[in-house]
Amino acid sequence: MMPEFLPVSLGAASKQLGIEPFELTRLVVAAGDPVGRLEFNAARIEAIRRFAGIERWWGEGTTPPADEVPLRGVLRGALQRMLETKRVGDQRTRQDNLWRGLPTKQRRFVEDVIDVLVEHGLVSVRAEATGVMISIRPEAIERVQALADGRDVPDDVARLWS
Amino acid sequence: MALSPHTDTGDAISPGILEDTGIAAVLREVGAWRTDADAQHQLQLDEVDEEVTRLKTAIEDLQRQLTALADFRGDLVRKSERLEAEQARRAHEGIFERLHAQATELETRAKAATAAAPRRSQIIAERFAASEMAKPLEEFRQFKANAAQLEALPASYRSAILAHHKTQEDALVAFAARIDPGPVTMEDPEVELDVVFTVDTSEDQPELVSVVLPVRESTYGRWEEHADDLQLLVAARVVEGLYRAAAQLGLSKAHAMYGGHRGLLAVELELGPGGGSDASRKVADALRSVLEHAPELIATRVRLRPSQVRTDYLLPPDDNHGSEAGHDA
Repeated sequence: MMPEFLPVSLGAASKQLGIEPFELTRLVVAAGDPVGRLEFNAARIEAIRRFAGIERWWGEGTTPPADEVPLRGVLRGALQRMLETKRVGDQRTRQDNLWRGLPTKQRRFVEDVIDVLVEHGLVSVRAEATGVMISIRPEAIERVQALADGRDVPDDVARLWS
Repeated sequence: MALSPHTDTGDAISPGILEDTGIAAVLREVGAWRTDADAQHQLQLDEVDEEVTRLKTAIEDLQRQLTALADFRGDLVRKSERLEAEQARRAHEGIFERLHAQATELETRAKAATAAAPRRSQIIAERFAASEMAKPLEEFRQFKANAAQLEALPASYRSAILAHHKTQEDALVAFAARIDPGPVTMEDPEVELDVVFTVDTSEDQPELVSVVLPVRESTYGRWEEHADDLQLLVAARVVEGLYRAAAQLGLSKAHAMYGGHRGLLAVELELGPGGGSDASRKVADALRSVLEHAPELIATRVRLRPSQVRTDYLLPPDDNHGSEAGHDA
């Protein structure tokens, strides 16, 4: 048995990348790969990771900042990370980078809170070939910074963790 | 000679004046004729009246028949409309019954494929053992087993060893790729499955492709449990076909929705204004191309046929507001 030299399956590669199998399939097509084996060696996984801009912000010892309201800490951590990496305007990141590595409850919270942040004009979300991308709206940097600091939290955002 | 002022009938002739004349007889004859004529005329009038009455009755009967026929026609038209709905209902039920049966066939084949899969690494191991790479492989494994001991070595020495083994590992991986037989070829009879899709249009423009697969909904919902499963690969190949069709239609930013529809996996892809009139053909062609060339489907003898059907066959009228596919990519 030689599993160490076999390419991994679609499902296993998806787990490694932290995306769903159909998203990986979509990325295979978007990256221009011809119809072939849906199997992945390390090099192919790395190429997909780079192409799609897949990042792991949480897990492996990195956690959102401690907060007396844990979900608020998750939001603050995600926004702080976007500010630090200057994901503003045309500098976008994959939306799922914000929640990759988080437990299911926190992940769902981030998914929900993004919708509210879009409604408040704080972030913009758009579909690209590489994935669903998000960035801070340039005119909203100060408001996002306040939110990342735990200040000026809109009521409908606070309702999501109450 | 004194004449009566009335000369047209015998009744007007004064008896006793003309009774003995031949004229009286003439007039009696005329009177008798008139009486007969009146009787005959009355008979004809009676006959005509009778015929008129009969015809009126017949017309009333016909009118009633016309009304009954009009009602019957209305019933037939309504029945015809119901037939249309009944046709869609029967087609819908038939399609899903068949797809569920095919999903069961696929589950069985997937289990067989999973059972056969270790044969692939056995073949690679045998080919390694019989090759010049057997020794480097053994060295590589020993190195991996003793990797912890590297920590005790000086950093520069450790880096050199790691670099050497990285080179060795790359060579082993490249060799394994060359001798890899790929997915295990099965000898079982071919499994024929349908991939049913519909292209919904608005104002003759295709707007939405909906696909239902012979794959259980849980294959997507709990994909971690099916990570190495043939069912997941079948679904992924259909998804791949849709995205290749979207790329050909210039929709490189399209993102599909996934979910369940009557327990089976459903995929929806919005085409929007870029769909174009040949969207249906391109979707069918792309699906066919991917499904015919997918190595693991060939090896496991799973044949998938794309079949386009009417929208109401997949989504009956009471479901026309959309399937349950609702999970974003």
